[in-house]
Amino acid sequence: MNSVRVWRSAAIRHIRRAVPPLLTAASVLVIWELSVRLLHVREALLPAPTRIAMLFASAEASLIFQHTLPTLWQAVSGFGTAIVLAVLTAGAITYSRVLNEAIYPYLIGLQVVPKMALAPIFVLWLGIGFASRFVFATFVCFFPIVIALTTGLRETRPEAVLLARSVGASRIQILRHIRFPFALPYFFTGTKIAATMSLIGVVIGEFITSDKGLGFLILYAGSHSNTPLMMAAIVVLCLAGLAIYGAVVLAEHLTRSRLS
Amino acid sequence: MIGPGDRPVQHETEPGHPSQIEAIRVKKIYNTGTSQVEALESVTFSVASGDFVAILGPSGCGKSTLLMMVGGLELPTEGEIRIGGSRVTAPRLDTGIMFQDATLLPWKTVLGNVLFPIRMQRRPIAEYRQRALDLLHTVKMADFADKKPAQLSGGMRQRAAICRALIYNPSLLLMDEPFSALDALTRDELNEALLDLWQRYHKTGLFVTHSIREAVFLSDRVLVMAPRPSRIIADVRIPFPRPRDASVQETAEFTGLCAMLRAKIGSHP
Repeated sequence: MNSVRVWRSAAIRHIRRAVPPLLTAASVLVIWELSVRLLHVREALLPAPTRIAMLFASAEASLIFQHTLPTLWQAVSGFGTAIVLAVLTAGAITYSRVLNEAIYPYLIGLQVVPKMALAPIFVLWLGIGFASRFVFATFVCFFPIVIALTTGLRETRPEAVLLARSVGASRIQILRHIRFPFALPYFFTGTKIAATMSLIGVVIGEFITSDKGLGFLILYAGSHSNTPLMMAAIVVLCLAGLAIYGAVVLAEHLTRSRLS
Repeated sequence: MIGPGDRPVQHETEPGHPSQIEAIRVKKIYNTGTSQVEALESVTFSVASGDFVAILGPSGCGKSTLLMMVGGLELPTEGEIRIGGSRVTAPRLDTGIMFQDATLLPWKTVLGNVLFPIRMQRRPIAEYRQRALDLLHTVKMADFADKKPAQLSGGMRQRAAICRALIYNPSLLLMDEPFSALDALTRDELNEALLDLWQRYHKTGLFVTHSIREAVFLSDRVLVMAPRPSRIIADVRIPFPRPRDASVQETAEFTGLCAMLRAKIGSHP
């Protein structure tokens, strides 16, 4: 009984906290809708929210859906590959002094390179198909994760390692039970940044050259002055970003609850 | 009341080795790259099985280094340390260590932290759960088993750390100024809790501290260390009978012993 009450009061608190931001969104949408209608703004310039919403109920919805899958798939596969590579690299850097000295300065240095500007080079090398956008997404996602994770692995409190050694833990156990959990918050911070960058990377690739994907659809709709379609594609892009980000948040939550 | 591993006092001491810990001309030099720092000049002492011995000295006298070497976390540069007759080269499963900081893992509950050594030693967790809860009960922490360390006070964290050190029933307990970061009242409370556990479970204990009163209150013997060069300058037996309680600190004999130890430390600045 008591736990039900606790749960219910927590739920009420959550709902209460969601009210102000929802009100903000609602007012923005209402003001937008009213301005477009009352000021007779041309649809090609700024379509009303209801017009964009209606598009999802029309035949064009399947068109958007068709173009969402390739973008999402490329972003997720690039993102996933980047996580694996970044974990391996961070582990190697943490455990090998030579590798650390040889590689780490370049990882930091590459942080300042505006990586999005390198997209055309990937297209030049890997062509206009899946490969170039997948590799480019992996490339942009890799850096935030590897740097955050390396920092995290270094942040492990030395006393905790000493404690684990004193009770007979092996090096692998120390990595698994001490260093990794200490690095987790850092890892997820880097991963959340990378999650959003994966979509940006793919869309930029699609902007440069592509015959499908949301990036392509946005450009296509733009060139045909089909602004409602363009806006709808952007809305779906935002939702895709939220979905990837949400998956990371969920993964973080599950990992943390498993640790205790 | 206490779980499976707790048979009558059982030390892994070989016949012919009445001392559980022996340190023989132990020397420790740290290489700091450009120079060498001598952390310990030459230290020889032994601790009898079942004794509680305090190593007392000012900061920087090498007492913590000495304890880490007994725990197998550091190796002596020269000389050797033996436990139960065998040379210490790595951490041993018959040794438990308490650090200055409780060092609880923040993502684990109190119970998870107490069971952490069991998990690392790949022992069956289920068999030790009851023992963990009993230990927490003895230090009045039973109600906090499911709390996270961030929800506890400093004193409570060290109580949990005591339980963690005792969970796998080591015969030797090493303590590196475990209560020095706590306020005076909490510290007295924890010293009494420690003494209580001590009298109940009969371990051998080595306790590093810079508090004279703490050393006298807890120990059977006090080894006094002095810095530069780091060495043991006195070995004082504390005659108070056990079980002891806090009232022993009010006696003239207690005050006298403290004054005597203070004079010894003072004579070697």
